[in-house]
Amino acid sequence: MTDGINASVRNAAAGALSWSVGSVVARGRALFEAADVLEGSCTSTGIRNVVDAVRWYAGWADKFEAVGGTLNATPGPHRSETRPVALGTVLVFVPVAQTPLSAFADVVAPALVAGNGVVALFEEEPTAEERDALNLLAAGPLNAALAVHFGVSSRELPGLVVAPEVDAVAIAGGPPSLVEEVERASAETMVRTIVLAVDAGERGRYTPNRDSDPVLSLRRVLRFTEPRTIWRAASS
Amino acid sequence: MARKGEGLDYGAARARLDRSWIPDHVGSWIGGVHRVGDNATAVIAPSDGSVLATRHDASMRDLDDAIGAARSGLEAWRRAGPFERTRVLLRVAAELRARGDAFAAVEAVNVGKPIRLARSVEVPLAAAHFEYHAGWADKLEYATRGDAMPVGIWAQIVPWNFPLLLAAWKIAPALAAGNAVVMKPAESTPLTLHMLMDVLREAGLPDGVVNVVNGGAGLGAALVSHAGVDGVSFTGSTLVGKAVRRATAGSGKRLMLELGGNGASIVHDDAPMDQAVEGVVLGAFANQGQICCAPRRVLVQENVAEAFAAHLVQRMARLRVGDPLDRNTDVGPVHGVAHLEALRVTVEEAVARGAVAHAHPSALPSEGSWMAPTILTNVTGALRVAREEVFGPVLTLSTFRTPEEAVALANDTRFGLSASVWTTNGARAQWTAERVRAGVVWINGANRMSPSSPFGGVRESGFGREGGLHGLLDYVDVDGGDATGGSSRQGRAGEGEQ
Repeated sequence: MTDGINASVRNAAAGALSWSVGSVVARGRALFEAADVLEGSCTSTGIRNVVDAVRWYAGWADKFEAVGGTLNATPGPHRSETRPVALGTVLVFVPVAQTPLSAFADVVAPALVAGNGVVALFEEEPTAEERDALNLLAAGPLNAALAVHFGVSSRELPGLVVAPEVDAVAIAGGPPSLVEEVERASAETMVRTIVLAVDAGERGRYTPNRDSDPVLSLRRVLRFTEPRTIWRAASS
Repeated sequence: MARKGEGLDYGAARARLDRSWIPDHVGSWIGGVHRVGDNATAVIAPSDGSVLATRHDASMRDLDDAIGAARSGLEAWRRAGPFERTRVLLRVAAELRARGDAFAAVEAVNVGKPIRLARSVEVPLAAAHFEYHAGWADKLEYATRGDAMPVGIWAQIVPWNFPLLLAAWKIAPALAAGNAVVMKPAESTPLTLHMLMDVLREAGLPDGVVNVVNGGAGLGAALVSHAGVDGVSFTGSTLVGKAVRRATAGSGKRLMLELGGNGASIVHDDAPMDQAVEGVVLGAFANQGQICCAPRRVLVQENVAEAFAAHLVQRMARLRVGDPLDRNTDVGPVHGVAHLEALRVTVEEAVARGAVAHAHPSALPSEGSWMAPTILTNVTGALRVAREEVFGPVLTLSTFRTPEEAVALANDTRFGLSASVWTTNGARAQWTAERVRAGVVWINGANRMSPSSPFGGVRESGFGREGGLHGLLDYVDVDGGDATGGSSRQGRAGEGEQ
């Protein structure tokens, strides 16, 4: 299993560059197209939710830089701007006890929109329909940027985050002990950890919602970016 | 025959240092009270090893008291309200400017920093950070697009290279967003923070909003691990940054790490050569190269490499190395004898493995910790001097053939703080800036800073931003569960969550 995931990570790292530095307009279109493909093949409510979330987030692709970036004042003959840029290669872990498709939609869609290469790891084995749908998504217009693996134990995660190509890990819920373990492992190579809201219970159930809130969903996209400040001399 | 101008030199132009500006005893500041303990150590001037002051380290009891004082300070600062917060921050900026000579001179002798850098960059920029954030303190609702609550009590740890500036750029946004602070300066450079505490009090900052504890690694570890701390902002080495991250794993504390860098300066064959030489030399050797975002690796296009290297070495040789208080000095002593030794070993190791060292020609003083600015050519990527952060007046030079190769070489590091690209081709500059993995990229420039420009790294240079809207938001707790990251903010702090 780990070998397969590491291969996906290397592929995602290779694909992430073109995905992130390519046009955000093309990125948005690829996501809309992926939603269309998925919609055409599946009818269950769970899949419908994924379709809706991918479309919702796809609409941010050509906007999040404008609202998440800044033009910075400078005292001299210079121009300075800050843009949100993708983290790079992101592992997204969806633990058992989450609703796999909701978690996928709430976490993977914003990570992709932000321009990251994503390797989604589900702890739970999904239903056959879910598996087919997610594989379809990863094989379609998003295939350079997305890989999906099922039945990945949380015990494997700390070992996976230290792979040199991994830039960030997102955990859609999970027990506090897992969060601590992953954060500690992430210190070695300064992998970014993004832990989505969890309830107070010991299983740390992730609470999906709020995707239809523009401000909160924008924040979710921006959590999968980091700011890059570019200065230009403005002299003759 | 002597060339015109040869043999002429500047006379010394020593800046005034009034002994009364230097505090004799530097202790903790807890709830507005200066606390001096038994644990005393000398604060040394790196230019001649003389004793400047006595530092008194905080005990664990002092640390607990400082956190307790910050808890009261947080409430007092909340009651002050946004408009009073703005007024206080503006008064701090004004007072820093008014006492600029004193702050600059004390910083220069304590750090070994040339007075020109202290007086014309560090002090004005520190003041500008307070001024910039004063303007945010009464406009936070705009910044956050919702309710804005302070994160709470911050543990802030600053290093020895820019003690005043880094204190300012951590304290100012924290205060603008309504937080309270317990700050630990570097053991060797506590003087200007001590002076800043006077300014903060006189500006009307309530007691306990900013507290200071002195001490070493043990105290720093206790501070970041303290249960009363809500956020940790650390500037320093990547090694210690990793320890801070492990210590806070699973704690839910907000974390900002501004760590090491190994910045590349990419010089294309169409670069404005004179500007590139000037920018690289001043960027690499300012503050003795002890700047985390300094250019450390020059990558120059092969067809212009020889001429560029010759100019670079020539310009470096014209830097004036000497007394930090002399206004003509470009380069002062490095930070301490142990630091000097480590730098020497790194350079010797590179030379033993084939690098060619071009050292600054001037004679160095025998007392203190002095190192000649050095450019290393014939450097291969495998050398430690190319891979690690060499925090001193050392610059490496290597070549590339294509823009793609330049980007690959620039990114061949685990760091990602800064980079610069020199070219007159605007499209190439943009192309490069989009591909170099760094938090800050300068096109035809180096080491530019402003309070409104977010500064910080990617990869092992850390995360979180200082300055600008993004930096401000790291100090704010935005409404709406997920937005604040639930149990963890590791790696993301609040930047960009607008």
